[in-house]
Amino acid sequence: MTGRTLVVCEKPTAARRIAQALDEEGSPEGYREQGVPYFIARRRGVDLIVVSALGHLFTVAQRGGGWTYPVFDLKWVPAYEADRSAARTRVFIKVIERLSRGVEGYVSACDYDMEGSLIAYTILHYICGEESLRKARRMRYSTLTDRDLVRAWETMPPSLDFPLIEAGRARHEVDWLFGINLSRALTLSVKNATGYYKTLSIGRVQGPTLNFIKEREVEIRTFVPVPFWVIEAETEIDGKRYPLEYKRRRIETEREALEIEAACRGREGVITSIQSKRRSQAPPPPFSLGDLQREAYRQFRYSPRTTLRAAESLYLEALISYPRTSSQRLPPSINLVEVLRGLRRRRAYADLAERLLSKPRLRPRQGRKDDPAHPAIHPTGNLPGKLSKMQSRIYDLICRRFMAALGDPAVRRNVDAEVDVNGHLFHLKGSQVVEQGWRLFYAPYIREEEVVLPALREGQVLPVVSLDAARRYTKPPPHFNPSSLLKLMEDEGIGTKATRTDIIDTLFKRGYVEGNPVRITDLGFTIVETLGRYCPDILSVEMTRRLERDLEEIQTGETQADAVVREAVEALKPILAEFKTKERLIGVEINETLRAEKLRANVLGPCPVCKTGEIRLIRNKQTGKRFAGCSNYFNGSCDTSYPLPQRGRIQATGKSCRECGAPIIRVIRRGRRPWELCINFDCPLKRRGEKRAG
Amino acid sequence: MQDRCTLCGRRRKGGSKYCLYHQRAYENLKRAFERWRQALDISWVEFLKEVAGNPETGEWAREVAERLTERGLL
Ligand SMILES: [Zn+2]
Repeated sequence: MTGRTLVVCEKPTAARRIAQALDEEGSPEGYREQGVPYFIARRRGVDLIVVSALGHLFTVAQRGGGWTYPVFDLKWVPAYEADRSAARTRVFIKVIERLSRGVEGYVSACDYDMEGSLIAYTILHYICGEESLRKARRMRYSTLTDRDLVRAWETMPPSLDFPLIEAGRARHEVDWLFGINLSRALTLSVKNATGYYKTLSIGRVQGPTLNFIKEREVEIRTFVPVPFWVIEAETEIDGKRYPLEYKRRRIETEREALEIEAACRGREGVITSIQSKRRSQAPPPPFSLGDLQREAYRQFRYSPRTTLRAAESLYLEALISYPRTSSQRLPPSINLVEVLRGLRRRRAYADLAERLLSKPRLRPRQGRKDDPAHPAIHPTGNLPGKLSKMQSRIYDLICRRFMAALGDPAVRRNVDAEVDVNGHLFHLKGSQVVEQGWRLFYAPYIREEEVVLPALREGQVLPVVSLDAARRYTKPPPHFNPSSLLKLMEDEGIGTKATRTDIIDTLFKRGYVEGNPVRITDLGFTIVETLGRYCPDILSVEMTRRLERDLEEIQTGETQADAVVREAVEALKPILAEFKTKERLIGVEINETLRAEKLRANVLGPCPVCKTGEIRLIRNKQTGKRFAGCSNYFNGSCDTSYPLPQRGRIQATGKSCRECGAPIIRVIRRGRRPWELCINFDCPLKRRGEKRAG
Repeated sequence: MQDRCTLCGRRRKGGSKYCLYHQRAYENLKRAFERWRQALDISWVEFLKEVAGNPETGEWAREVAERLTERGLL
């Protein structure tokens, strides 16, 4: 670096850390202009002007006017011009523009990934001019620790990472093309057909994702259970009961189940063989973002969004490495000993870290998945200050998982005794951990149970103290939850580690899905159903996957960004042309389904008083308040009515209260588990203080 | 309305009296009945009653089962 250098960071917090790390004294001068923070650090006699973006300062917009479709002509504009909620980007652009005057060098120091690369690129391109792009260099780092930042500075490649930038640019342009055209097509179809205006939209990746949710919903709603039988048996040894597992988990016919029951009930069993095996359990690999999100959901019921936010704040505090990674590996470049020494200073980890440090060699368990830009999520070894409850839970999970990955295999001893009961084979199984290994580090998050069997010998006679052939039913597949939805997207190759969380969020925001477990709303159902009928390509996983692959190939230099954008336009053209010819039909249909569903949704159940009418959800036109009343009110024969909760969505359950016969409704509010209640305020069940009716 | 599913008002599917979804539920019922019959020797009407009262049954399948029971259809 020769003269004054502009260092572009992604967020103000990151800018402060980077300025601190790069300043030789560790104390850069901090300034604030119109509320925009920036720093001046000095390094090797050069002034580094460290500025911050606010996420994306530039975005894609339509070139030319007209609220119509198709639109394929796009341009990049300052974010505040395209989006009113991005008003603050204006001052950031102004301040960066002023600070960049007379600057000789440029450095992109945004998070090292596609979005980060693009953020810095658009700032350089549209504020500092094309010339700056030729001079600019790229810092690559995975943690915001001083050590990593200085190393990233010292080893900067001489140019920007154009393949990543181009991939980012293409992704934004492609997503914009799909989003704007599909949204306008949907909205205009209803408006032109019925005059009714309702903003409807669907994105490139949201379509296929929503389609999966809808398909699952259809599977559940059309599900018919089938009976099967299980043999439930127990034996007793030294006053303690143990389950006996029948050799077949399922018995298909009642006749056979009853035969087994008759043959074995009241009999004694004899142990015919005992097998004892030691089984080694390898440590789990360190976390990728998806793994962390799933584990945090399993352990704490945190949504992927909550977990990502907590992880990002820990990253900005330089406590963990960059969380948006798909890697499950810890490369040799990470100084494991130093991280462990750091963790040792924290009382909760002191013993655990010491144990690992005293090992002759540290070899992490490596997972299968890798990421070209970042290692698996791991602690930096910096000591945390005060953390929120959420942060400290996520931090603990990451630290313990990291240590577990460095631990030895655990060893279990599994015992399987075969028990013969009148010619039928049962298993008496035990399982016990004999060597803790990595489990020691991950103990708070392991929930397996141990079954410790007493000493057994062949020929031992066991009493069968209970035995039943119990009827069971097959179950429908479960609804998705935020975590399983994420997994599905990963498995299907739709979206990226950086975008999946947002895509799921958008489906919620647009009202296409709700609740946890995730249920598709009538609106979501209608949209996806109509699109599926008239332009199935929009919902096709193949198209999404192909585009996803093309975008990857831009990063590796195999494909050009412009070619991918052109391809997207070519893919959209026939879809939109087709849509236009059927626009009226689609509009009428969406509108119709919306109305029919609305009507259907308004029926809460049969009227318990007159027995002929149905209780409907009614909105008072003057007050806007809702209540439930009998449909026979309109012909004057029944005036049954009930007050309703005013907040949240109300759904019929098809059930009636066992006590008073009034319909039971389900109330769904964002961020809460849906709950069911009897609609009748004076229901005797409620007066007795029972919460649930049904 | 002639071209509507008798259960939900959606458009009918082909020659069926049901929409796509209720038709699928109906087909699932027929398929499941074969397995029920093998499992415990049950009549169609008994089967429909069982299924309609089973909490695992999907709502569209239940609607079809109930409709078939009401009408005593085979
Ligand atoms: Zn139907």
